[in-house]
Amino acid sequence: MKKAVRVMLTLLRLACTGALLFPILFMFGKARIHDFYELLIEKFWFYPRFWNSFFLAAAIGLGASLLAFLAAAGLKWGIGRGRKVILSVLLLLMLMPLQVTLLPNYVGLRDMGLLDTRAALILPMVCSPFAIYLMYRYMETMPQEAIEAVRMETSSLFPILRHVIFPEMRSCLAAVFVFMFAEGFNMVEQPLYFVKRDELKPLSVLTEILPQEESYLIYAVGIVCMLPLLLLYGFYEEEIMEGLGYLKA
Amino acid sequence: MKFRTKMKLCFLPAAMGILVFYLLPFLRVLLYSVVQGQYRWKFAGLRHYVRTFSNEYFQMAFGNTLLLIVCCVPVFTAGAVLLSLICMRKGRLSSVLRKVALLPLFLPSVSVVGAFAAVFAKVESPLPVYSFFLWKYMGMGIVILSAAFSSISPEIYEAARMDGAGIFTICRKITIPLCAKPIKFTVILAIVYSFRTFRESFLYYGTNYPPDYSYTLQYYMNNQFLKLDYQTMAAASVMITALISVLVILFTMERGKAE
Repeated sequence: MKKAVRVMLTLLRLACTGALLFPILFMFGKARIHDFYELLIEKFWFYPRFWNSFFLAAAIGLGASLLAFLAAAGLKWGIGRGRKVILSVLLLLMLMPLQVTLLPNYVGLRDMGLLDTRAALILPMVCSPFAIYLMYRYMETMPQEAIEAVRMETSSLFPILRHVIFPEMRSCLAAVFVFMFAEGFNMVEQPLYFVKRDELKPLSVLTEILPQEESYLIYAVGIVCMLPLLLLYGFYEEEIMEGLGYLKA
Repeated sequence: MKFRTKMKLCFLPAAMGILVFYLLPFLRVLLYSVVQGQYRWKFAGLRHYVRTFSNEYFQMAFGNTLLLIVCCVPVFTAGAVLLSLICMRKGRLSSVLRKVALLPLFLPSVSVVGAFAAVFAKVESPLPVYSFFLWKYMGMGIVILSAAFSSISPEIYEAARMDGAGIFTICRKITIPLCAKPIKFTVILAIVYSFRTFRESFLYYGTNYPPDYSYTLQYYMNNQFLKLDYQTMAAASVMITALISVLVILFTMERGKAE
């Protein structure tokens, strides 16, 4: 009986792994070598688009993790009263669907005259409530004494942030970076609404920019887009698992 | 300068960002939803709300979104619970499964939309979008639940096993009741994510006007945005915000009571 259960569980695990991997493998199966050749050598539109996407995602990832790091530190050690309110606001914002936050984002960007620039795509994502919330949840578990002990020595801010808090937060920073990078690489609505100029549109709105007669390239483009994220995920998988797990609290 | 003040300054940039891009504009959106027009700042009462609600496309979109929630949230939650239960144990296959389950969350939707489009080419229902949604976002539920499940101390399991409890009994009587809170959070996440499926759906259909059965609230909002009908959109935004706020407040209130 016990053995039967174990075999069943193994089979179930195998089946789930297969089902989850299926779409990815399917993409790899569908793309032909010739498509890659065409895309990477012959098509002149591909490289600027790809680097544009990559630049946007990297800027969002770096900016968001830095800002969230500072914000979480400030929230934990700087703000006493009002912290609960701030946290609930962040939680609420983080749970809002994109369609709801897009209009406020749009209004804010329009008032500052930032529409149709790269900043329009980067800035709202950098101030991601999700990143701040997650970072704070993680920082909450840091012992209070760590800071108190260092403050006997120095009260200057930068060394404390750099040498005390930063090393503790490494895995969470990695998780936030990869998550926000992925979000940046995957944004669809923002480029549709915030930018009009064609050269600013990233690869994620491929169906908008891919000429009709080249639609067979979708598999090849998909795989090339997947690669940076597969690499990042492969490198930081454990940190991501650990870091994102702190959302549960 | 005092240390505390310096730390407060650290929070400033993020606070500014949140204020400028989210909170202050949201107040303007609230205003938009009750004035006559963008440049006619005269109180219009709840006219836009009534107009939005009586719009037949809004009703259809609302129905489709409800259907999406009703169909997907239970599957999402059950799937996340099941997957995190079976990949909880140590072992190579479990850890591979855990990695694979989280991966879709990080892949650009555009990279895999081709696969879904090819597999579901002939299906005349919102099923492809539902499965795309489940495939992509279930990872989030799994991270949260497996973190919760693994924080249960092993002694409890040991004691249960000593008393002769099998795997299923342990799951039903220990793991799930102890993780009621994270499971509830997963349900909330599932609801919230089902309001987000626009991206997958949009890439799948490649148009602003999908077949009727897939026309969700997000499409409605999207099309209002493209038509620059801010009033209607603001009204719809405010309604969805209120809906989700109620959910979150209910959730946090219950959490406060439990602690």
